[in-house]
Amino acid sequence: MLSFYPEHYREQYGMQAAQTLDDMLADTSSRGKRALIWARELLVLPGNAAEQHLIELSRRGHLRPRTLVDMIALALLLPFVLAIVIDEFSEYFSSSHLYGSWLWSLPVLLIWALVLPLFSLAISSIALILSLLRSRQRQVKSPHHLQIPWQTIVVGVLALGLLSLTVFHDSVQCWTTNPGNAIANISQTSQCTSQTMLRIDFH
Amino acid sequence: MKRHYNQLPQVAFSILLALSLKPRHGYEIIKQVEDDSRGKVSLSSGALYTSIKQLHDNKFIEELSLTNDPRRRYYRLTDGGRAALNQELEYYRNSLELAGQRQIFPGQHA
Repeated sequence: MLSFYPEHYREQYGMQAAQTLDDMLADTSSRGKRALIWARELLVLPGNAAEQHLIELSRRGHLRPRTLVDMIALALLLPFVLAIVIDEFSEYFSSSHLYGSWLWSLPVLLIWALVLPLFSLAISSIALILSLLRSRQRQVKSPHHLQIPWQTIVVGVLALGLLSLTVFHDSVQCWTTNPGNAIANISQTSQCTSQTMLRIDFH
Repeated sequence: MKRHYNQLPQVAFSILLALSLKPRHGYEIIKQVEDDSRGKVSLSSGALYTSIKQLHDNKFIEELSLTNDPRRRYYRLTDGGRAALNQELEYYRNSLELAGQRQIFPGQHA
């Protein structure tokens, strides 16, 4: 479990934490209580480890405001990714999608599939524009100093990709079955999209 | 100038309270916190050392070199830690007095 924590934290507190856990387990006779101790440790592990990594990044000066903004933008996309992964698992194990579940019902669907990715895209777009403006100002002073905010670009592209998936996934069938017709008549494709969406909503 | 009151997180308060009598190592702190809370607060070692690190970084506690064993480190309150604990206790005392005056303890209705 200690391997999930940053190295600096492990060096400082790793051995003590291991000894304390050993003491707790040694002082407990019943197997149930030991399981409870392990469960408590596992429960706090993700939050504590993430917190310590953030503190460590901040201590090393890596946690700049831009990194924090990128992390927030990325976190807003997590519900979308998780929903798709859960749905894929459901299809794999029980051969059924979760389209009838609360996760696919309004307004929950609207939040994870549209609102959060939109926020993420807005945040990364603003961060990208600000970063480019700052970079341009710096470039005036030193022409060779050009910093490309790759992290922000990746998060923005990811948000745009997920939004495109939300908007166009129902029209994929129209595009693949008759791409020529779809290109020639975009409004027909939209109609096809709305009809497909209606089928999902009402059946 | 009005002094800003920063309330301590519950785990941090419990650790400071556990260290108020004497220096203790990790497991002793966990046991003392459990005793002080009459079994209501059970800390995991993960939560304990995250809070210990925070308290140590804020100079509320300090490490003692009572043993050479790196697995058993003893901690004690610093003056800053004692002041933070007193401030917290003062806040709780005021709250308890208010609760008494307003008769809002369980079974005590106005």
